[in-house]
Amino acid sequence: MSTEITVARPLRVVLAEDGDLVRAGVLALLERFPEITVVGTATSLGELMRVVDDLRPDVLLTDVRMPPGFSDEGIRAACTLRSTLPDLAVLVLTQYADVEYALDLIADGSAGRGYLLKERVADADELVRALHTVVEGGSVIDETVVEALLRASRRRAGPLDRLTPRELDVISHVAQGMSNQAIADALVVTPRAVEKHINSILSKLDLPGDETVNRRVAATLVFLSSTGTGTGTGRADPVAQRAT
Amino acid sequence: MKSLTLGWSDSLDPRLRRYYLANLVALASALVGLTIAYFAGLRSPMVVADIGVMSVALVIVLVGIPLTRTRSATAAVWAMVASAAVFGLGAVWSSPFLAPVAVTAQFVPLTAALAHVGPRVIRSVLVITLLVGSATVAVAELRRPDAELIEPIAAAISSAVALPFIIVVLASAIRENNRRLAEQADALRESRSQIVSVADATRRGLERDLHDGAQNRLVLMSVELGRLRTLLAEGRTSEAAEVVAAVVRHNHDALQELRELAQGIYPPLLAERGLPPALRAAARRCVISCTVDADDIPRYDEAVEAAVYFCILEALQNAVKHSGAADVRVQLNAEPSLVFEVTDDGAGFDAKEKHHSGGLLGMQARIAAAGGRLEVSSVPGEGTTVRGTFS
Repeated sequence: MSTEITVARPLRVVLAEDGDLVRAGVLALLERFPEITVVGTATSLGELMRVVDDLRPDVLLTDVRMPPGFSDEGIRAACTLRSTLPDLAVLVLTQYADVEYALDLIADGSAGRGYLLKERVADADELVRALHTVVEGGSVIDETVVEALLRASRRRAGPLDRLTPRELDVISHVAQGMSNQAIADALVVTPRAVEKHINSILSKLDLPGDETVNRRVAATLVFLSSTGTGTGTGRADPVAQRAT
Repeated sequence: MKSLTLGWSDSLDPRLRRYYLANLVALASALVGLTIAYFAGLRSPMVVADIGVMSVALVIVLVGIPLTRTRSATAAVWAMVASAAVFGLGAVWSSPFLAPVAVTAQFVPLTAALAHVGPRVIRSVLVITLLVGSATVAVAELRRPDAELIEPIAAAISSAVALPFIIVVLASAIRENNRRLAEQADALRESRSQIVSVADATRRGLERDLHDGAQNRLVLMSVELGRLRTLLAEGRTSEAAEVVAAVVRHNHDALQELRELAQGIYPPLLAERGLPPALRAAARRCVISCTVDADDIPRYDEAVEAAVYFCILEALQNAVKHSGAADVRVQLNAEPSLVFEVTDDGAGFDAKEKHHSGGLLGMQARIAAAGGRLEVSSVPGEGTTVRGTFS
């Protein structure tokens, strides 16, 4: 994720949202960006799959909950599309700040997947930036989700105690899907310093070291979610289980 | 008596134990009476046969005592059934005139068992009671011509003494079953009204939260938007930008509050993913350290899942608000049946004094309504454990 929009690469978007108000709002919001074309909309899971299949957009921007079941259709669609249309990026817009949905979204890999809370559309630039990031194969996790996770993890005595305050800052940005460069910009330090922090974090937490940014997001999220509540047995190697 | 009670299973219901002892005492005293009669000179083959039958029945009851330790109520019931059958058939074989007593005695184990064992055992006991009861009458009628003659007055006295005793036992068992049902009905009524009042309190709380929280912020936002219109009309853009920032902030807070409220009404994770993910999410929101140990938990009935979830949530809130705990542990087990336990390391309380607090009664009512049972144990200074079991 880059802090400034450098290239206005044209994006073809399908918007799946069953709420008329939100759909109209998001459409109006995206109209301001000339490089973005909403080529189709959908208001249910079936329609979503059909429209995406017909129009082959670059990115699907979808709600979590929609007909027919009003449960987690958006997440399920993203998982199916991972195998049927591997090049399609998916950005999920949601009301749910629970990490469980985000973990499901990235369970088969976090490349080209994003999870943003709906209120984030207040900042149109942030939404568009996230769209670009997932289309380029990156991942985006809402900072509210990551912050809640980090807060929960820090309440428990555990490996996170070994991190310095700066490293905690860095890991929060890593979990949101930021690249080293983006983290350096956000924290006003050099990319070299960020790299050093990240290496130190990875070795302190026994997280896999030679990972791409995407794998790193998944690994960090799963790690944080399991230290948050201490899920007992069976999660010794969370990365291998959920984010391969 | 002391040495006898040592063999009892701890889990055996005291009422069932009483019937068992009554059975034992009745057989033992009949045996003693017959033995005295025998040594007093009544050395007829009938008395000898009766002594033999009573001894076998008594041995069966005695053998049943240690068995109750491993098999509990079911073993006790079967021992009573077996000894009644031996007594009934054996007694009428040698003394057909005892048929009314023997048949009535068959119903004692059945009546005593009703409240203590499962429907399958009850069904089997019922069938055996009917078969043995009919067989007893049949044997008595077949044996009547060959049986030793006895003075009508002796037969009348034996029946008149034995029958009321058995009828009193039967009547008290029936009355006790009725009382038990009445008690259960009372408990149900109480828990029903408890559930209603808890639901009302929840609704009041929701209304208050909506009113003080999101609703207030929306009012504030409309005030700010009005100001914004004026500022824009007057061209005061820098002040307008400040107001916009405030509106965005209030909107963000309102959304956050609404999300938390919606979560509290019914967490979507619970409906969609079941107990472990919903509890882990709740544990993350908890302001103290909370560990959730809930592996391999299948989906349950909606009512059961909701009862367990909200009960655990209440226990977590209690741990945070009242106990000053630093660490809470939530454990769920699905085998052999669903059991959950919330343990904190807080101040604890005297379980005798605070047993009837509203929150606790609400939790108990909720779990009971879903078919479970809730126990709270606490020792001052040693934390609190809330444990729910479903069978």
